Amino acid sequence: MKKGFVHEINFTVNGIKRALSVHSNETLLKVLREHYGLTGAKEGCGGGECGACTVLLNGSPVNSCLVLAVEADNAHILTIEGIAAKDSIHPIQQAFIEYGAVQCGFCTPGMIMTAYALLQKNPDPDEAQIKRALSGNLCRCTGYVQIIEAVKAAAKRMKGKRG
Amino acid sequence: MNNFNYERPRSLREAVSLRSRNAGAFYLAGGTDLIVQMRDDLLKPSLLIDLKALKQLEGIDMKKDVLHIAALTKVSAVEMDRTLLRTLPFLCDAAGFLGSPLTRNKATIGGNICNASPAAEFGTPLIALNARAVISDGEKTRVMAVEDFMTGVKKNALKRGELLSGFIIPDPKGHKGRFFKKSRIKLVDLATVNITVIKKGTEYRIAIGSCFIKPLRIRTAEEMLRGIKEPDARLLGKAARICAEEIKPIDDLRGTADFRRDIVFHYVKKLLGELTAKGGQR
Amino acid sequence: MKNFKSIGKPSPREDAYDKATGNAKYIADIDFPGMLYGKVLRSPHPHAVIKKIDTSKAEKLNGVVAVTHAAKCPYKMGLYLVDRPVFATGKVRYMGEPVAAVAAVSEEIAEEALKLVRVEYEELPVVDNIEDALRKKAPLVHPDLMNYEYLPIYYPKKDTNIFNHFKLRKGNINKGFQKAYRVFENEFYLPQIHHVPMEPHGAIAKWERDGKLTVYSSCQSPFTLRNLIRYAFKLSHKDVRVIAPYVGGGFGGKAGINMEPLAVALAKEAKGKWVKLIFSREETFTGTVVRQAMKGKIKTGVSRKGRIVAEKIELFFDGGAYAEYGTNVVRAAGYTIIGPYDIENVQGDSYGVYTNHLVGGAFRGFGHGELHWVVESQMDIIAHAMKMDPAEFRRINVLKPGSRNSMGQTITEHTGNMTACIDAVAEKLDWGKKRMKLPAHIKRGKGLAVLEKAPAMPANATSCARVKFNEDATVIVQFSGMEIGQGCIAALSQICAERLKMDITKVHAAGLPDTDFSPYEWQTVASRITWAVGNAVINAVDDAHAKIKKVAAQVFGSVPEELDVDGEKVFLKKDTKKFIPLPDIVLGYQYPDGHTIGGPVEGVGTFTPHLTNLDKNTGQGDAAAEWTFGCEGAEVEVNTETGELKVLDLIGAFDLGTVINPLTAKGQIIGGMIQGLGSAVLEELKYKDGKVRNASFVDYKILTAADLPEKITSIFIQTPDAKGPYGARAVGEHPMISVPAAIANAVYDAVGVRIHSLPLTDENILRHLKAKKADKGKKK
Repeated sequence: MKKGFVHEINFTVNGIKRALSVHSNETLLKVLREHYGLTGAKEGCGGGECGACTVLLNGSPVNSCLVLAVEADNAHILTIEGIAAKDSIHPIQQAFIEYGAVQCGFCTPGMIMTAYALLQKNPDPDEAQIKRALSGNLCRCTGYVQIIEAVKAAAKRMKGKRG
Repeated sequence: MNNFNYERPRSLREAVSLRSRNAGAFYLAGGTDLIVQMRDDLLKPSLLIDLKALKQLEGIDMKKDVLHIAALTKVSAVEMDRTLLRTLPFLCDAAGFLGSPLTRNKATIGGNICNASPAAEFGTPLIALNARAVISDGEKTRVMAVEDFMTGVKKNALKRGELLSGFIIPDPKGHKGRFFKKSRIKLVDLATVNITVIKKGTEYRIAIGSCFIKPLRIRTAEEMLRGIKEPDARLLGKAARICAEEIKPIDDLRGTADFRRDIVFHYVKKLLGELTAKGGQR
Repeated sequence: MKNFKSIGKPSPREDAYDKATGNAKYIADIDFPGMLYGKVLRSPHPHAVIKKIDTSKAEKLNGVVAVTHAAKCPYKMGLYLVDRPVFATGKVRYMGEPVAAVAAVSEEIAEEALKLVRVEYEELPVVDNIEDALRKKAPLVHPDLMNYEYLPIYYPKKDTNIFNHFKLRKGNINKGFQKAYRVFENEFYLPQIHHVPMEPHGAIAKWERDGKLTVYSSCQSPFTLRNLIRYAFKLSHKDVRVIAPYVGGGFGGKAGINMEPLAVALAKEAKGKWVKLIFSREETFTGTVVRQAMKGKIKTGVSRKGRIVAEKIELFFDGGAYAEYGTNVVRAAGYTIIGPYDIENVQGDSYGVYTNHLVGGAFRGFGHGELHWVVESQMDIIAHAMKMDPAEFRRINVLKPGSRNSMGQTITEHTGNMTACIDAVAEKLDWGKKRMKLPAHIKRGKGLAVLEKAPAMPANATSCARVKFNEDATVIVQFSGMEIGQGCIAALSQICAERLKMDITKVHAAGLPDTDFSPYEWQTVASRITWAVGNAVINAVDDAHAKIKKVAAQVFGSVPEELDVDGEKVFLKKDTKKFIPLPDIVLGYQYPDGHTIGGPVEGVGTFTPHLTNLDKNTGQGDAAAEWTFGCEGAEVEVNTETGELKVLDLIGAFDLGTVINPLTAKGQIIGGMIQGLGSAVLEELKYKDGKVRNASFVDYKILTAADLPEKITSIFIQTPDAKGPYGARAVGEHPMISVPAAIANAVYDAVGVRIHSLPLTDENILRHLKAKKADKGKKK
């Protein structure tokens, strides 16, 4: 950390410790996409209105377009690229595929990250809770119904796994 | 977005001092309004003072029947706080209507009030609760009503060298209240109208947002109801009518002034009805 | 239903894996070393003369590589009517029109450079609505209209703002109205709305010094884009290459040509360098295209028994500053103008009108959401006035086998079953059943509305597909239908696997086209890909099989007619023990002595819709290759004190023929209905003095997961289409079309107010409720 326009930040991205020089006006979204090639998070509006850029910041889903990279100093970041296991994708990803929750796919990574955070906190959400949790992630293709079905299915599977 | 200096001070005093020494400096709380304005070149700070490291500015605390909510408490923390859910659930409701869940994980209650939008979600509940804003200059603090702290569209009463450190809600127990927000879609929208009504014993408080340059208390209506345990429908209608008449809304993209008056009339009546009906406890 | 192996199964789509893992690359995710970044300077005025453009300061800024504007790039474009310059030339015609563009080594520098471009304007009177535009002495948005190039199937009108007038004449309108027992006349309106794809528009272009141009674009129509770019920039097709990555939603907004010429214009000035141009959300609102606003006038004559005997309709589309796709929207709405009804005497006029609004373009529904808003509101009004059940009134009047539709085509058993759609929705809605008791200010109501749509395309909209066998006899199917979210990769793989008699896991769809390598496709629009390309895929498989059989026949000393192919082998029909495993033949068959015959097997298939142009004066002819019928219904609850509308139930039934994939079909129907619901209750581009006021997500809202109706249901009616692949029919656009009318009709049923203007916001409904109350008061 130093004063001025350029700052040294240390943070953890998908479990890997990283150090990087960033400009004060660079957003976390930009840094993830341009420095690390983590293009799963998308810019849909750049104003925190659509959720396409959702990543987890210290465990909570946020619009990464409204996080300055300097703010992420010492933070833990989790992106769509970081949730799969070594040989299999995450149950939420699998459920999205199976339940027809993916159409154009542009909102999908953000949607999955929000669902991921929801199920971490609340492993057994009801429909109203799912709708509320997803209300900041816009989708123009699906009408949300199959997304909600996928989240429910994923919750069930994940619970089954936990025993 | 222009480039700017960035500091993350370790003490309140340092934060305030940085702000005093730099004319173009802004505090960064959650940043969910600030960064959008910077992106659109509406604000070009020379320095952002990130308050994140000031852990004393975060948290909700009940001390001797006085509720303290620190300014940097995240909106999602207000929404989920167990003490608040028990004592002032309508304040949690207001939190739950602010932006999206993603925004609420970053935005702060202090930021919402300092940003001073007439539609600020925390405006009406805090004003109706007679909440006080705690203002620090790094050493001393002064206290003023939140109602006076918000002075107009995007304007607050902070002087240079001051910082909003939190809110005090004196005597938070025994409030029955309701928060209501009318917007174009159910969630994740700016308010066309928001309303908080409170009943404490036989004292009533009504605050209305997005209908003037800042959230408003409608004291004429409050006075009319004062002392009446179970006001009848006619009286509630009269109080609601006063509210609809006393607000000074404008036509904008979210709705016309007329529509706002209709919404205020209907919902003030409805919410008061819920508070005064038997079993309306919440 | 036949016993299908792949058709009708809810196969997950191949592209979903890429998208759910974050691997899928969209235009903004593509980078090249040394790439430049483009930014566009836009007009702040809706109508103004450009007095002067001074780019000298911007050009001098360190890091700026190219600055361009009309003087350097004097090219025009247009899908059917060439009226649109790449950069505003002489004057600007809408707020947001590109005036200049810069390319620089970083986005920040490009933005900085924009601020250094000086433009002097002189404002002109603004044509701010349809009425203004049609006035006798209205300012002309395009005084040179008649000098523009256009296809001869469109009819602009001299010295007016009308860029196309489509006429439909059927029967004898005057005689028809003379026979009428009652006549109903009404007007309806709907505003401009935006597609709001989640992915903003973007393109990356490089113009090599040898004259070769490569364009990456988030587009629906790589080949048509190539065609229009080479036309605008005067190049040869062989020198232009368009590559399309995944597209983050289109809905018509990425069809034809759009923002790509801006990137090309910059690339032309920065030769040899990639130029990346990604629109901001705000630019996506103002700088692409929108759905036209529309005003419709309708006059309907009905017999005593409730049979429609005559109908006269005029539709006026606010096409905005440039005709774009609007020319053909006017035509498509014009030839379907009465909706799915059997009416003997019809007079229809559909007009495209220039204004100084945002440019109108293709939008899911392509004029049909607009025309059905008029027709389906009118039908409800008539049914209530005639004291008939609105569902029954429709059953009496809709198209049935033997009916002739608006353009004179005869409906057959294979066209689809309109009545079954109505019945399915009515049943699911408990149509006509009593309502529960509610507080006095809460009212419930039910409504429904029917619809029809055919793919709107020129008669020469052709498709091609290729089927390539790999060494292990797995298959790659190639086509250039764009996967814009609708699920064509899944559907076309399934059709391919079915025809190959092969397990779907052995088929890989290469669905991201590159015009240098991929088979030709006209455009991914009009809900036509599964239907049209599906047929091309079938033909490609048959071609591949024919090639295999030809070689095998030589091996067996037989003739191809005696052979058959399944997913694993080619065999003699009479003696199935005589066979060659496919891996032994798909790259050529090798005899034991090493001698090899045949070669790599690739099947090519094409499809042509076989249509005709329509008669200029009557609009009669064969412009529709297939029709999809549907019905949508809703139950709503209205608060009479606040106007608040709650949608309890939303149902759509569509005769989509054989369902190729129920999972993606459901996704299309529900997604379309929710987009339709947004257009019904919420969405509107708002103007003041010709300037858009809500070009961002802050004030242009779309529905979120929290805004869904309590119940939403999709129903498949499956009358196989005679020409569709395995009997499939189009369904991409249809679910959006009649939701607004269904909701408005339900609102009428609930509270007795008829709303003629969208959107049905709470405020709009309350205004009508108050007016009705005031009216009642007066009458007393």
